[in-house]
Amino acid sequence: MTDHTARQLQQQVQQAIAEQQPLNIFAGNSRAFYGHPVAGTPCPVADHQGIIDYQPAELVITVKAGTRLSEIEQTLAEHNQMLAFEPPAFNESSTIGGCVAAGLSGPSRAFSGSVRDFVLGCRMINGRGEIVQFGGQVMKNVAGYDVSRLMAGSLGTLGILLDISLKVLPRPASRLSLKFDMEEAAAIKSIRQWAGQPLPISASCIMQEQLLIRLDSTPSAVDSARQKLGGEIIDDSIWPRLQHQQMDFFQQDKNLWRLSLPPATAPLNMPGEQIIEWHGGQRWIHHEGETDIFALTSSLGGHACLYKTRSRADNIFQPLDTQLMTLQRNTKQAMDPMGIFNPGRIYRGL
Amino acid sequence: MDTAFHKAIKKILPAQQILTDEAERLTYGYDNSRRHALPDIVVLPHTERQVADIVKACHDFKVPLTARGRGTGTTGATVPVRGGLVMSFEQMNKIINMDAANRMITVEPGVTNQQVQQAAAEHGFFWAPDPTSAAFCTVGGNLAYNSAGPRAVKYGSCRENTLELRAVTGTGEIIRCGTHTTKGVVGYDLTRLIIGSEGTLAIITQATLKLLPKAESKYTLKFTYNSMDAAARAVSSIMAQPDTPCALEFMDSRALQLIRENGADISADAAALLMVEVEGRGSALQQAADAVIQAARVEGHLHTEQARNAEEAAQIWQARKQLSPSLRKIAPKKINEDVVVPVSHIPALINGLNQLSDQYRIPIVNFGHAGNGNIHVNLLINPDDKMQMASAQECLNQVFDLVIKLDGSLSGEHGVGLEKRDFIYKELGAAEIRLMHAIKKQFDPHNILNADKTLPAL
Ligand SMILES: Cc1cc2nc3c(=O)[nH]c(=O)nc-3n(C[C@H](O)[C@H](O)[C@H](O)COP(=O)(O)OP(=O)(O)OC[C@H]3O[C@@H](n4cnc5c(N)ncnc54)[C@H](O)[C@@H]3O)c2cc1C
Repeated sequence: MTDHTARQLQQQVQQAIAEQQPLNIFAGNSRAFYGHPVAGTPCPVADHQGIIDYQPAELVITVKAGTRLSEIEQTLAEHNQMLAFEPPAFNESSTIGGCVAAGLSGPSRAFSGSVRDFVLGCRMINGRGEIVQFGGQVMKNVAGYDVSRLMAGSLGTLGILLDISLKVLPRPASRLSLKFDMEEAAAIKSIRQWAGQPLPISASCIMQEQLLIRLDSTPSAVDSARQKLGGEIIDDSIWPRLQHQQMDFFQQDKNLWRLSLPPATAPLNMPGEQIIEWHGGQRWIHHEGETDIFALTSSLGGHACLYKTRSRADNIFQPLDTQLMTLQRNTKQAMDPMGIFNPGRIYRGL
Repeated sequence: MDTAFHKAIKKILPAQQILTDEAERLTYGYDNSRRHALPDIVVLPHTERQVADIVKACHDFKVPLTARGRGTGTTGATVPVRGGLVMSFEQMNKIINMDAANRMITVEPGVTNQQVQQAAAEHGFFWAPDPTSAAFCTVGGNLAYNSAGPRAVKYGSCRENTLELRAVTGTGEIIRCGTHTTKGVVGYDLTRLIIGSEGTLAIITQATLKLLPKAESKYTLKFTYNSMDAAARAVSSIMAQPDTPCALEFMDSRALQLIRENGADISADAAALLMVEVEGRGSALQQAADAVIQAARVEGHLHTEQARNAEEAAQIWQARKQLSPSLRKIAPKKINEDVVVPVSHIPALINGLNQLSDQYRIPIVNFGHAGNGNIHVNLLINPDDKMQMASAQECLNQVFDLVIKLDGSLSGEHGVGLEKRDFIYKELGAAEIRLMHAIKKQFDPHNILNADKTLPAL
């Protein structure tokens, strides 16, 4: 296997280090809206692409970071397998590297886990311009610190992801989507009660006075859950639209906030439309008003992120207290001492 | 030891929380690796503030600090090889909040795994990590080692089942990472970095754990095979069906031989055994069991047994439980490794281990968590036999080489500690280890937290 593209990227990083010139790393650019803009030399990584190894029997796929999500999902589907964290792909050019770096997961998050949970290992370029490798292709590994998981969600600020090994899962044998007409408070209460029981609820969504749920399991387990829960059967097309954020709600030209809250948190009573996912744990709201969303979520034991914004914002991610911020900066310092990878994309100084 | 340091500690803690008597200190110097080193002082903090102040004092006086749960670890991570201070969490053992509505529990680090399971079970929940030592080991130790058990095949280990940590870094700063939500990362995921770091990055003072609803009932299944190859194919086939079992354990032919000698009813032609647990309710449970039975019938399958009630299930697991005492009968000491390889490489691993066993004349018995390739490799030796001890070390070296050749990892759950530290170079390169040291330095600039453990020197 030629590693030409990896070597090219390594050279670019080494040059950036020598010149102390930061890099703005991007692949499909489908997530450019997410996080602060970065001033740096453009560093495209999408050419480093292709599936390196896929072992359906091992439930593991190893891919170059520039590989498109669509290609990966299609390959997995041929073997009746899937990326169980249902990553949002914002357009055809979305790559797996961008997906892991952004750390965004889809509707099944509360049931299957997050993208991080599925990263088994990675090869990357670090802040000294070295190619290093962490984790591996096996399901469990406690040798040394969990650096590959640290890369997930770090938005390219700790290094350039080259190759990623991911755990994949078989597709469910049976799927059924249900709708319940209920007000938000009742819906939050119902999903909370159901999520506390061993029911195969793989996704939920509360919007427009409706609670939508998806059941994924064996036919008889889906059947028995259906009998227990009732509701009206709807078709499954809502879930991919929610996953890839294709609904009108996500397209509006307004500030879009993503709130992570303890799932049982009562309705927020904020003006404007909301979408609640992850059994109450994730809440999307359009908000332009004065309310300090960061303070609000923090007081509720959660955190917030200004997911999409029309203008520049001082803070996109929940501000951290001094101690934690120092430790985050120290972690960055260990990985990227010259500060060349996507400086400021998450926080100033990272 | 520096008396100024002692004075500083006495200002932080009342006398009854400080142990300086040699006889008392002795019991805090070992773990299940059978290594031992005497700490200079032992402290039993009650609060996070006390923990932070003690760490700060150790930082200021550059005194080595080793955190201690119950010392059940097998790799020497809690043995205070540099002397210094041992911080035992036996008195920080309160369940702070059982939050059933949000499916989480917040505990102090000295709470045992079993106490968590009991508190959770009252609300129909469980915490996924299920080490066999659950009755004794603490949440702090579990998190520091990223411990796990059979359930990990379906539900993951500590890293996937912890929402929030409060911890104290090597400078005595208190940090809170993660949040009380299902989706809990702001900035870098330091929670996961601290989990599995064996007390070398930060001292955990409080943990919020993610709970899962308990299934209504379980079926236990037992399958035998005429070869390890056949059993490994069955493992892949079982894992490929949509409903992942909640346990998928195996035993190799030498393990079967042992339990046969102890009277277990295993046919003579069986060369490998799988034990599988599926969960669910009513007809769905039987359907899940049927799917597994179907998948398990690969070429080379000999026999299937399904337990239909708790008593029959206990009988099936009994075979597995008999194994440890049987091992002890053969040899006074076992070197117990917990390597990981891709499932399809399990036969090659077992073959290679059998060859090494013959070559070094050391019985090697293998069993463990087949579903995720995490195999417990047991070298049975007599520690009084100097020759055998030396060849055991060489044999172990070869075992690790074999594992790396098969794209595996040296440990899946027992950790690195001291026992495996010097083998880590087989798995991680110098650049990788340098980077880990750089991280360690940022968390613990004076290298007081469990120095010498986990990471080999540069
Ligand atoms: C019979 C037996 C069966 C076992 N079965 C299993 C098994 O099935 N699976 C498995 O994974 N392990 C198993 N183990 C190993 C062991 O029980 C686990 O590793 C356990 O998690 C250790 O917990 P402990 O409280 O005894 O920790 P200790 O051994 O006291 O400490 C372990 C590590 O944790 C650190 N530590 C402790 N508390 C803290 C804290 N508050 N903050 C930071 N660091 C801390 C220590 O410094 C040390 O590095 C078994 C051991 C025995 C003896």
